[in-house]
Amino acid sequence: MRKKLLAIAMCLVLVAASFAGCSKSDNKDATNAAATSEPTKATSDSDAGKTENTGEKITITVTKWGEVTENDVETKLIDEFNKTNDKNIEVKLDVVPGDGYGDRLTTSFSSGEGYDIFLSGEGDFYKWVDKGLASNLNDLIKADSSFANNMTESIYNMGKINDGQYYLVKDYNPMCLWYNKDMFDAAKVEYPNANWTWDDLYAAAQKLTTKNDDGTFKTFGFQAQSWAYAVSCYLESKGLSYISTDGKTADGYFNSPDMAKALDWYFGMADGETRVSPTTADTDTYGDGTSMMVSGKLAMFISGGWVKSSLESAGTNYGTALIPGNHTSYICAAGYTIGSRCKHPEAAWEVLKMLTGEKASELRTQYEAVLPTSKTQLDKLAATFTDDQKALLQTLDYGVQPIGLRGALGSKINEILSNTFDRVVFKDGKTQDILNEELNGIK
Amino acid sequence: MKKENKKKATASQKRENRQGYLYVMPWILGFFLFTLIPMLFSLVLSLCNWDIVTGLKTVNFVGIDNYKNLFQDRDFLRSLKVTFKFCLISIPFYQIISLAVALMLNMNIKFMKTFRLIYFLPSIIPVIASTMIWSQIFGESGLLNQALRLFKVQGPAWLNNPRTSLYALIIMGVWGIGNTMIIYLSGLQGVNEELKEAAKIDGAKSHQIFFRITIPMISPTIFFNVVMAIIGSFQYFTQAYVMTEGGPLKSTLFYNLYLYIKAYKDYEMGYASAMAWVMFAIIMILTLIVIKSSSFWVYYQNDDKI
Repeated sequence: MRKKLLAIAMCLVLVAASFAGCSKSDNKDATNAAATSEPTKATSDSDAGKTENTGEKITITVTKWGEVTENDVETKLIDEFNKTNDKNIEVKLDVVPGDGYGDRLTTSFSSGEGYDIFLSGEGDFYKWVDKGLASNLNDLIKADSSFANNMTESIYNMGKINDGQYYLVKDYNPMCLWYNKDMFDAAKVEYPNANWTWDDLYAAAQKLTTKNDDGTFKTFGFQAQSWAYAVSCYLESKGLSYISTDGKTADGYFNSPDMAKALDWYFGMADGETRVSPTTADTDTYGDGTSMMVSGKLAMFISGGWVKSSLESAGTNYGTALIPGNHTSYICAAGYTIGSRCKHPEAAWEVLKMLTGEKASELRTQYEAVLPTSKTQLDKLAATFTDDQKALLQTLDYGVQPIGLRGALGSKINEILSNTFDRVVFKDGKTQDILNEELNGIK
Repeated sequence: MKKENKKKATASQKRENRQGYLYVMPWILGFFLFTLIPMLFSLVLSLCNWDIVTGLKTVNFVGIDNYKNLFQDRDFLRSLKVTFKFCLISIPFYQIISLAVALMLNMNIKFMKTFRLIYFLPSIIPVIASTMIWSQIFGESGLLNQALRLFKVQGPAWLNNPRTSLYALIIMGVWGIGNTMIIYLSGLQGVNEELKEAAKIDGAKSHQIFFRITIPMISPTIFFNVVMAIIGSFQYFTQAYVMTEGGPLKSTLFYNLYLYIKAYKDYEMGYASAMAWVMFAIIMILTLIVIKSSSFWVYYQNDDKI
């Protein structure tokens, strides 16, 4: 008998355990059971909704990726905000480490609630707007006379989708041409300058490419990588565009003969024995552009501001230059937006301003070594840059939104870029045919 | 008296039944919650459009549109092609190699147990870990190409070349044949030695013994391994996800990988569910074909006794 009781008890424990994960959702939408293994912060938000009228606290949930460190800027800002704000707002921060952020955000949306304020990379800016999950901030901005926008114009505009201001950028990285000064000195080649055309770059790259006695490559002049942003900077700085200026058509733009010619020229740099650029296989061997530049194997490449700290910590003697041609450069950015399901947009707006304002910009420059969004901070920082580094900041004047942010067509084009460039690299047909085929695929 | 006994037995039987059900309850609950209900849910979903991030409210019934669209989707057809190609090459390849290794490990030589252990070892290494090692091996200056260079052959960047990437994955799969090999080994050990000896006395050569006696005797094992291999190949995912992400040029876009991309990158849950059910149908048909064909080539010893 005792044994039997024990067995029953054990079974009950097991059953209870298997239900434990679901119990949280019982008071919510029962159909969402699958998604509730992750505690959605929004529960506290809806609690706040019920109590708002009685003058109690409004809770605003914020999420971002990263690790919580001692000097985490968001934690500092929010702690102070929670203590000092007079609007009875309490901000709760949820930091998701590592690669789990995307999944976490998706789960929070699919469970029906989502966060009041969430962080997004520019690559996803369009997606959240398209799915109706990010709020258009235009009305909030208009209604708020105290909103003093001190952001650099191209950075502020990064958050615009179809004329709506949806995001306020927290930090960003413009793309520019990075070069290894020691390699230029050794080959007696003049440093890149603002008057360079792409042909000048190629001529220099030829001089900077050298081989060992056994015929293997010792150094490469330039990395013609197939990363869509780098290729796009090249194309747009040559005055080429994937879509028409009104954003309505890609026919005759994406698949124009000029586009095909330009792509052949670009990827030709990384093809065959006379190449001046490492191939994808080469980078498998020697590491990415940054590592190759650090080890003195690569003289020039186009990349974002994040390269700076890697080059500096490795002690590389580097310089930056504007991208050749008309200098058009893509900007990579991370920005906060208010979730469209937020129940207290006004309160969230106050929090959003705090997370992306002057003070935030100052702290981020200090602790995270990122480029400041605020003009004032940027000017301060610029004074500490050497002349060879300044191009990284000057490039902001030529900074544009990546193609994926430019409306529905731009977003569609963005999705086929990687595959298109891969096909050109692997010579999967004539470039012109590849462009036509890929464009037809999204029609 | 007798009657009472019988009654008592039934009562205790019932009690025992109840107890039994309680014991299996955790499994049954798990099966319903995590297998059967999600499966049925996916069947319903496959008839709907559902963007996972916009929540359950946005589920739209679209009938069989998802299934229709599948066969106009270039990438879907490509993933089918990649997976079938992988099956056609890898299944016979792995079966022959595992059988060959099992034959060697079935010989009576010294340290046989140690050899068996060593040959089985790779298959208990976590897939992710071995995948990382193989990524290095397949690099342009990786171990494989360094070895080839000794023979004056310049190998390609295996994983970075759309012509070789799929074959690289097939070669890598040999690393994980341990389980198949063990099953063959146990099959080989069940082959009646007397039969072989009798054949030998009758003057049969060793290859005749192998093809006329060993193979028919282990045909049930071959059958089992082939069915498992078909199912396994269609579910191939981790290695492609980690090593190639379907590239280059979608040359390793396996069926399951494409399904995953549709579900968790593009958030098209309905479409992905339809893909899952098509995969189920394909595996089922292939398995049925093998089972039907088995009466021609699989030999069960027990059949003789009937």
